[in-house]
Amino acid sequence: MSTQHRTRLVNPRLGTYFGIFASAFVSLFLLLMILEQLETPSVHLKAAVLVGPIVLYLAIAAASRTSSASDFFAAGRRVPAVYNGLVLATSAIGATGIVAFTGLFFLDGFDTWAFAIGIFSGFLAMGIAISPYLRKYGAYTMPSYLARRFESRLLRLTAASIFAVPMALLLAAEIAMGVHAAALLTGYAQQPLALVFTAALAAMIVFGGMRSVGWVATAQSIALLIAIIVLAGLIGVMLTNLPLAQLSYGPVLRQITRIEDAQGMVTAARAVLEIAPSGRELTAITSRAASPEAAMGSLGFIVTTLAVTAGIAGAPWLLPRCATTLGVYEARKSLGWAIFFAGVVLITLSALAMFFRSIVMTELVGRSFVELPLWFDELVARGLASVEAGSSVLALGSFQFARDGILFAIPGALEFPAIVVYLVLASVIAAAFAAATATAFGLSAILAEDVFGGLRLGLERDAVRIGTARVMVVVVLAAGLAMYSTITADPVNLFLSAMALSAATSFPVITLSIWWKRLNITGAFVGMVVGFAATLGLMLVSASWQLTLAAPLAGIIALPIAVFAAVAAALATPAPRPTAQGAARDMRIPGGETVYDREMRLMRFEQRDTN
Amino acid sequence: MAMIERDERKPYWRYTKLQMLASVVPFLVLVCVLPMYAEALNAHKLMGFPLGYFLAGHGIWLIALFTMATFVNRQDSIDHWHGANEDS
Repeated sequence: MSTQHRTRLVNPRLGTYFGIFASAFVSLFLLLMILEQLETPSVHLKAAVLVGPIVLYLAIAAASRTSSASDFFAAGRRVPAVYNGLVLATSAIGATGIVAFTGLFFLDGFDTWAFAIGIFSGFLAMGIAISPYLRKYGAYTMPSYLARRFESRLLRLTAASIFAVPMALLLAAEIAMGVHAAALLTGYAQQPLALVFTAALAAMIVFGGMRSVGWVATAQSIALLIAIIVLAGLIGVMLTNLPLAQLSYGPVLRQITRIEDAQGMVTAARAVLEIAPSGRELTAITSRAASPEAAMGSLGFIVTTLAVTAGIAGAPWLLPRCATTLGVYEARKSLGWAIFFAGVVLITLSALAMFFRSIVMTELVGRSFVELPLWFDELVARGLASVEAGSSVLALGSFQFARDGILFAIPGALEFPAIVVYLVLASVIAAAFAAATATAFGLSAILAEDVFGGLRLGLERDAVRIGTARVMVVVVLAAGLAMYSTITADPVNLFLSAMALSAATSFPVITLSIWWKRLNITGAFVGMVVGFAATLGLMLVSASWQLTLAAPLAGIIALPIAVFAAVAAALATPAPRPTAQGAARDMRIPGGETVYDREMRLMRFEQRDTN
Repeated sequence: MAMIERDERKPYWRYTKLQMLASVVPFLVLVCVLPMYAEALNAHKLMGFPLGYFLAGHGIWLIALFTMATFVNRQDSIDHWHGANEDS
């Protein structure tokens, strides 16, 4: 057992390194702002905005290269809580959340909090009920954890097949959002940009696996925070005289409410279980900003919250990050940091959306068609907004906006320099990289460790394991690129489907495996398969019979079915073997050696003795 | 090296389960109940925000942070009390 003091394992220069990155990122944009004033052609500025940060990310990835399996799959188990929390928050929200949630706050108002609350509660449930125990176990992937916890190769392959589905959906969504932002920035066609995006993703992962993914994602999260906090601060000072827009946009929201009252706007009541957030198409504002039931019925709001909660808590692409912390105590703390950073990001997005809604209501509504400002004409020209030129005085319902264009429209509406729009686009690309690397690496590790190497529970050399994982990164990203080209679904629907599948497959089985020692192989297998079949069945029935049964509802119906099936199957079959119960007992005690590391150490001894 | 006694395992797990339930259940109840009353609460204001809107966004976030911080401290105390803590 290691007797080294835990804090000595942490690189003391981490703060310095990321301080240098933050300075370089800010300096790049200040330099570009100067060049913009010197009338440098915008094509050069856009190229610098796209390429500059990617070069910084690749430099960090190259500096994080490793040849040790512990580093490649678990970042050497020495990531401090604050960095782990930051990466968890960005990976969970992703570019889909950054872009779509801002649009949803603008169009649907209050109901968008269902997603945000789900993310907060998901991190809370993960931090209290799941992550400390998985950190003590220390497996590199979730199928690997289940296989070792229940001593079953069949379970490993089944879990790998089932968990890969939500991860693939999220990977496609993140590539779509990243490419959408890159296309808005450069004006190039999406297909070649998708190729560049996935090539950059591969380079960020292959050098150091989880180690490079973690440190690159930390830099990307810092870029994201700088962009949205600077933007919100600037707008806050302009509209409320206070830079802390997250806490000062209340009066702006009340002003919106007063205009809604003056226009006689009433939010039409939704069916109790309805879940219909605004889509990608041009949409008019038809509901009040601060009132519920714009997009969801009262129960629909709760169902969405709970589905996202269970989906995040059991997310097989986020849980392996728990194994990277210094220990169990740090794993708990890191989820506290994840809640903090997720809240900062989501509350900032809500502030930005409300500021833009206020601008729309004061600068567009009540004007005639010819009086509309130039920034709105530019939005119309780019296909991000439209207006029905029917009456002489335009009402709020005359305007339509594209959900995924709102975040990029905000700096233009305030006549900020173009470089501020580019900064926001760069931050969205950064968020897409952070979330896509998390899912792509998670999938690659599952393919390498659980599918390719899962037919034996024995131990390969580090070089073989890392080499296999590197090949799988390329395979996964090629598949992701193919999925991006073929799946045309709304990224928000892909996000919700991934949450529903995670909520009904991974969450119940992993939670039961920790908190119910009686769960055996049969119970875990049946729970996972039934949860997956029920969710998929409900989604397909909804699609074919036009039941408008939203994905979160399918997940929330399937979750108790999966729990019931797992419990019933476990009770109907013999109790687990004493060794499996011993593993469950070990992972419940924070002290002592990481279970997975001990097993690997013993295997190495056995192999040495055999040879 | 901290090492839990065999007799301490059951009481340790009992306290851990209670701590988990005491942290998660009230929070989930709040998350389910509060949005139902958001429209009624919007008649009042806090820091300039309609109260229901503020509590659903900022409020639940702050309560989640408080719950997590309290849990980390309480669970760490339970770990130390029963000798189940990590080496430091």
